[in-house]
Amino acid sequence: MENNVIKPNKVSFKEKLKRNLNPYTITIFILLTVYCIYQFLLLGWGFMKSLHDPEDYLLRGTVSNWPDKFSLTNYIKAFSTIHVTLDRHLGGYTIYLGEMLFNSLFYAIGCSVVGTMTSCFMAYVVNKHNFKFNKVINFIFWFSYMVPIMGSMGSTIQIVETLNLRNTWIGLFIMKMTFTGGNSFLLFGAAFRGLDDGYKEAATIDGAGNFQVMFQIMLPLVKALTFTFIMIGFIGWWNDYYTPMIYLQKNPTAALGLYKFNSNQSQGTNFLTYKLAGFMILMIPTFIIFMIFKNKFMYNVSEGGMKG
Amino acid sequence: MSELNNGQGVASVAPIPPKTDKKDNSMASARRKETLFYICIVILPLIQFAIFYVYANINSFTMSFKKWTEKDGWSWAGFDNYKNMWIELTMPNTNLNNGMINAVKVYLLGWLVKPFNLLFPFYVYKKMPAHSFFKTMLFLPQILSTTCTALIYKYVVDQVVPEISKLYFGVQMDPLLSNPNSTFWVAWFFGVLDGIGGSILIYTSAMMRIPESLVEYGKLEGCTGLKEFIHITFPLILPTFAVYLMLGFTSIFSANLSLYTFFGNGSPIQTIGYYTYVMVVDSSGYTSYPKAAAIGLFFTAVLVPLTIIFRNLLNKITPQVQY
Repeated sequence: MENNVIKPNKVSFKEKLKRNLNPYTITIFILLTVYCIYQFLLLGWGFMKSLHDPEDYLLRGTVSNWPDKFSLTNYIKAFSTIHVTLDRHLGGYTIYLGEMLFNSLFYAIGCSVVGTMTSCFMAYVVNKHNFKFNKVINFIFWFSYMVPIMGSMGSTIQIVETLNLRNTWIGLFIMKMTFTGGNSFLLFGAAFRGLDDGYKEAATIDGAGNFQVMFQIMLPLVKALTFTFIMIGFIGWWNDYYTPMIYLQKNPTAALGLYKFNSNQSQGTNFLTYKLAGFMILMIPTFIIFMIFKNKFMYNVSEGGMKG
Repeated sequence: MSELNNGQGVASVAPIPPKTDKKDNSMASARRKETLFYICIVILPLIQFAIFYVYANINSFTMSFKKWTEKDGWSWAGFDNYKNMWIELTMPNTNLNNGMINAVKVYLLGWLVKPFNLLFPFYVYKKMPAHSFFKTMLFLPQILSTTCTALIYKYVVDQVVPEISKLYFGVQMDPLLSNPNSTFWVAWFFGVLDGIGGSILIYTSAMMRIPESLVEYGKLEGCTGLKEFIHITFPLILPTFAVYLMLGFTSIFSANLSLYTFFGNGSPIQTIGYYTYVMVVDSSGYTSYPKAAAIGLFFTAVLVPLTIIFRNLLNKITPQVQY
């Protein structure tokens, strides 16, 4: 018997518009278009000025004019211009954008890997090993999730200083070794609950130990979710300057460096084009990561959200 | 001897041999190994939690009853920090009073934006024109550095807009963000546009779980467009919406409107989150920590019972939907 499969016709933009022509669609379409224009204008202005030749900008430029001359000079000079000079008690030396970008990379990778893997390991043992203590771990998670206690920042700084962990990478990563901040513990839990215990049992019968089962059998099964959380974490920590400002003053990240360089009022708008090039340099890596993994990223985030 | 009637007569069955000590030992050993493995995995995160959450909050609590000076170090201050905080909170036009009003204002204004938090995902879910492009654009601010976008925004509203206004329209205009009269609204507007797409993926996926048959049935009854949203989609995603409402409520006093990014420590307006952050970051030694701790704990104490009431209320009005 012939198997006739009716393939849906691809609906053209025009056809879609015709079908959905109602006040709701039109209103939302207009609002979303305005929103996109806003985003394009904002980022477009920043990008356009970052390409404004610095000499042309100093001679004839204003913040709003269209550049007479475009060049990549700002992007090159940003590396030798954007800097942070540390306080004397921190060494007093000057750090430039290149080193700050390296710090950002180390900071973002370290924090995202430590944070994601902590949540992943905790979710695994709680959901795949039957211990009464699991209830305590779940309670800890839900309590800190639902009752955010404010005002402990000063206390935390004091603890970090007492432990001699302030301005150290290891101290920062220890602080991020938590499963209570965010919903990754929940989503990993849902993923592990969905996995058949048969894998674990078969491996155990074959003589695999608990660590082998976890690292060689179970964790590879949730690698897509792990990858997504590491990516989300990476983007978040790459952009973060609040934490390095308090706990990592000795190794400023690019976000912190750019913030501090921008806040230096004495420079006025002289360095505007360099600053904007610096902003673009900071935004480009996360933008590229997002564009490459867009579909995978969005799918996993929404799947995760659905399960949570 | 145990016997089993199998329907064809009485058959004798050999007794189940008692478990041997060897088997018992191997099971106990396996359990011991599993316990050891369990401890190895949970111990470090639990120590971290004990230090950076439990002890940090206990320390913060005791700190709120102390004072610190460069000369004498720590000493008890009784309820002085709370008294001072209360005076500042109840006195009009003080930083704390301003911060509390702004925090509540931000939360209430957030309700104006909530319909769009739902209607935009609905647009994407219904695959209306350019939905994929809009989805990406709405999600983009979550990817890009808020520090950079906030600072670019500041340049645009403080310098570019007034310059264009003067050059092309002949109208002299104050910088929008740095003008104290408009700071709140301009900062709030940035926050709205930066965060409006934050929940788009979660809501879209919640909507996509709605069975197609329900939607088709609704169509037959004349539920299309906005009617479909009101009568079918919204009731079915209400539990997801309730979770977001809950999380929004718990962070009511943490809103900071990106004020530190815009102004450093010199913002013309305040929020509680910003005020306590600046207090700690700019503190000379530990001087301001006790006051910041007292403010934080006071607002936590206010928030916890309100959160419980709000959650119970939400549980009552949110239907338990299964589909």
